[in-house]
Amino acid sequence: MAAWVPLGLPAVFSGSCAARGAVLPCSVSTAQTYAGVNVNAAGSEAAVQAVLTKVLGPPVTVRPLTGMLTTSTGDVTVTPAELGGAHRFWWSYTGPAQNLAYLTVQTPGGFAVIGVAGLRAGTIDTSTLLGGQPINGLELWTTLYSKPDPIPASALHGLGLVGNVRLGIINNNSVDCVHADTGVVAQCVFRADSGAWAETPRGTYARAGQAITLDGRPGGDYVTGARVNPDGTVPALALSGHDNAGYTSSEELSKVPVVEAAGSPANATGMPLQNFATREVCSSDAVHPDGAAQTRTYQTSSGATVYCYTGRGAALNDPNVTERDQNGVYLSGFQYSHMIWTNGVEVPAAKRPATCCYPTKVTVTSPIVWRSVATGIAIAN
Amino acid sequence: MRAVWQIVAAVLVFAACSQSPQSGVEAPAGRGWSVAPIVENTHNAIAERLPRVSYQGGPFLRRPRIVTVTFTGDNPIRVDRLVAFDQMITHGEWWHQAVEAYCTGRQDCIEDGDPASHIHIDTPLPAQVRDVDIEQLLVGLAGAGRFDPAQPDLLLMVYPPAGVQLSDAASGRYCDGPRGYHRSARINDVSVAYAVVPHCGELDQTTTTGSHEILEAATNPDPSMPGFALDRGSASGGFTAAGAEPADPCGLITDHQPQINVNGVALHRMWSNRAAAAGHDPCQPAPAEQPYLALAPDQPTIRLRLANVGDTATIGLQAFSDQSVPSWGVSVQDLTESEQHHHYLDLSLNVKAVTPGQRATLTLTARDIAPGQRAIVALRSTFAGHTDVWPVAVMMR
Repeated sequence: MAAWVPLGLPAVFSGSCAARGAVLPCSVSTAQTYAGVNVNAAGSEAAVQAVLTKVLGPPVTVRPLTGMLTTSTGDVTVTPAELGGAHRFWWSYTGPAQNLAYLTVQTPGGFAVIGVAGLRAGTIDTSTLLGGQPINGLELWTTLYSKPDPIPASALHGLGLVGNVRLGIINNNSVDCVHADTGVVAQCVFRADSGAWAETPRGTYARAGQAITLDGRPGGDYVTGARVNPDGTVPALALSGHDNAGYTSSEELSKVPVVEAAGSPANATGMPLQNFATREVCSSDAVHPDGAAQTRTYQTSSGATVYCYTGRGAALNDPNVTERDQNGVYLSGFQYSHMIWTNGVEVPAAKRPATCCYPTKVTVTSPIVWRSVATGIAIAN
Repeated sequence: MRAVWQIVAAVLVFAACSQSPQSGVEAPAGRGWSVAPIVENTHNAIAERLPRVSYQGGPFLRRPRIVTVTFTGDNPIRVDRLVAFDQMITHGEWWHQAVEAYCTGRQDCIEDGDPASHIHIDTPLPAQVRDVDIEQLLVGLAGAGRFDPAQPDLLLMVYPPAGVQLSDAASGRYCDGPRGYHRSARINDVSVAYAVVPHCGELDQTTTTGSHEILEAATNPDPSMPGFALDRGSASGGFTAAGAEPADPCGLITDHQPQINVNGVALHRMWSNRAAAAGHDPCQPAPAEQPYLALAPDQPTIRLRLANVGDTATIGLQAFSDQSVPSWGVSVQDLTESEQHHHYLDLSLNVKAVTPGQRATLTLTARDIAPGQRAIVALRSTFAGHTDVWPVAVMMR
């Protein structure tokens, strides 16, 4: 049992987030400075961001999912019923946000940052981490970015295994997968002939974003995914800076894509989509969510009105998760690459209408929202 | 021979120390040498068309602290030279020129390196070694206390000896293609920059590749989080086709001749924002007597979009030189075809030689879709035995 520390006394925390090589969970004391931000007892968005920048490296953007909680509220349940003075508690979150990534525990002398990405519940004991200080409350945070957990490969099999591509661990011949339109998470069989995969010292991984069937055949309704680590990072193929000896190399994927909210027409950054669609994209949206230029409207045989768009911002459905300019070149910058998280599994994101049927076609009576990438059909480009 | 290399190192350092400060120029805090402001020549067509290296937000090494890692079985003379090379490389005129533009603010720059150290491993490497084996070896060295991964700005330079074949998941055999790489390893929960430069031939080749990797590891210690690099995207055109870190474009645009001798040591030429801003050869140091020639597209950079087989595009070009040259030969080459041994584009250039300012036309027709839906075309300018390449990206998406 840790000793109780009277209010007003300096805390002695066990995990300093500023230490070189610090990993989550870690703790910070009041008056410490992180990335130029001075921590106060109440904590703040800027302080949490600064701490995570130290631990995970830039860029980091977190947003509060809740205010500071001392008891169960709304989508968050805690036990004991009153957190004040506790050192150990159980929590759960049942709300819609899929990008819940961090939990902070406040005390009079500072706070601890705990990675909970991919989790919806758990038990946290801060007695050592916070030097025995009693808890004032907790706060949940979402993240804007998906950061890579680089894994070097010893052998690559198949196409598309470029630097930073996300990797889903293959356990017992199966991999996490997500239905491309419903977002339902499942386990898909993955064999050597199911798609691209990599051998690494940490295990065998499938490339995320491949269309697959539940029984492991290429080209199905599901998309292979990557399990999000609790610290918010996602397994990715390590990137090397090669001396290319004057030869050209393949394009790399963005390192830190934005995590979008599945099913939402809004973009996490708040900026409109820039992807230059060379194809016409038809949907049920009378007003385009990103202000794309309308090309025409028409009525379906069932009487529904369909609205079609093209050009800048019309839609995005790219296996490399990145927006393109009018030349077809991938835009440079974190804000132009997108992923979605679904129950702790990351898949490449697309902003598009739904698809259906065999052979696959666009459901023109559906809205343009963030969904999983649809690999079996050309949408937007 | 060791003494000779120590003298070479001393000469390089002296050359840096003896540079007289330029008038009206201050050294950024922490730097012991002066850097004149880079002046953009807004009336120079080449300066307008060349991209620039800029800060991308990721980490960089401020005072690189090199640890040279060598192995038993290597030639002791070569080991001595590599140790001397690593001691001197982050000091002197080449280093100062290479890193001069790499500050995020006046107080936060890449500076001279801290003193280098040396680890010699008594166990021989196996004849075939993979990148993941090297990483495990470094983890083991840290565990044995041979280096402290928590030291700031650490850069491990690993030099496998002759007879050891290096491979990774993408390259079955180093030296036949890539000649080295740098990467970040997670050791004791700390990100540590390291580079591996196998024995691909003469020492000159090792030091050339070594200088490439050292600068790029200093500017981009974690390749997944770029520090100083060219922007990828339309703004950089084909200049990032071989990579966006500061040495990468120089293999491509010097037509595979990026090596230059600096005070007796073979080093890699590096992207220079100063030279680009003045409309000179952006890969420096460049031979002073050698003109920089360009057959450049009309737009600063151009990405052609040939999405379907049979699509045709025509682009206007103009010839430029930064020295007085009466005329020079020009040609066009599909680099993707050369590397993939497959025909993707028909290319037709309407001239074989140009004079400064002369206009020309290139016609492209798509014959097959290139891997990654992107082909790289080289516009080659050749004069007095040297060739400059202006790379153009042709998007097929």
